[in-house]
Amino acid sequence: MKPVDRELLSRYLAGELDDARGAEVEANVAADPAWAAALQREAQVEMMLFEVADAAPVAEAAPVAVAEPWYASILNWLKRPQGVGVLALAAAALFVMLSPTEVVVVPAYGLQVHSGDRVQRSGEHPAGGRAR
Amino acid sequence: MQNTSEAVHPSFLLHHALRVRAVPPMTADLCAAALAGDERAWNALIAQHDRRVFVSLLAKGVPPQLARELTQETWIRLLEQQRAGKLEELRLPGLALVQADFLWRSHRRRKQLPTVTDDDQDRPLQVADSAVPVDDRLADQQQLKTALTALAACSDRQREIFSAVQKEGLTAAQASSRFGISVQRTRQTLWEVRRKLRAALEVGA
Repeated sequence: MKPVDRELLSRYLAGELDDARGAEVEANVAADPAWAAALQREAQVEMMLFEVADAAPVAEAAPVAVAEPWYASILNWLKRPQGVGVLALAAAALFVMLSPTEVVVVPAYGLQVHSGDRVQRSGEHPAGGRAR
Repeated sequence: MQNTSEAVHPSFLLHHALRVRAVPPMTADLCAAALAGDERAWNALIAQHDRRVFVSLLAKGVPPQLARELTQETWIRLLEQQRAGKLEELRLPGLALVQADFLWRSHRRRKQLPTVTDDDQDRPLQVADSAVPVDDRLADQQQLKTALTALAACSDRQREIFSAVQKEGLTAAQASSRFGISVQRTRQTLWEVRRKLRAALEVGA
């Protein structure tokens, strides 16, 4: 015999169990008088819960909070001044990162390559010489 | 939260309009419509009170299978009475509970079950029952008071969800769409309220 599971009985009475679990509870109730007695006790408590709901003062109809999407708080924050600043900085940083770096060769310095200059084709300078 | 000083977003208005439309009509209106023969009103009332009738039979020790049959029989009888013009007034769930109790007593008499007593046969049901001994009624009232105090200590949202499910007969899924929260969250809220109330009822017993 399975021990009586009050929580399962409570969920059964609340109509929260699927058909299979409900049938399982009913089989236990049919087979075991302890389950049957527990179900009756739980049902009496459930009836009291109905009474409580009936007797509870009716609350004023409060405006219903609209469920916000998960990103709403981020969007709201970005609308604030510091959010706009951070957004502008992030856009500027992104622009710098993604913009192509140009190879700058100053004729006066010949073929010298400085740090930051880009060298093409395995070290060959775009102007024709080799990097040192 | 919505700031009332700002322009209200159209999606909020749409959602609110849908939400208002989703609110079920009052039970009294449904009862009046059902009494006039409106089938949809009957369906709504049955959906609202069916579980309560079923549980009331279980609370009397009726086996679940038989309780389900008697619950169905209860609604059939009430519909037949309405169609035959025998129903002058429809007060639910009271009338359905009395009808179910009557069917259960008839069943016991037919089967000559030993648990029936003469006192039981004549005794109406429910807490507001004048035939229940005074001490018992006081105990019930004390329990009810304790439970109401526990319910008052819950948040507004918890109370609203509990009332929607327990009083209006909504499922957790229906309540979740009404309050704009997940089904899981609705179930969790319900579970918390029920746990508190059950604890209060056990203390008050």
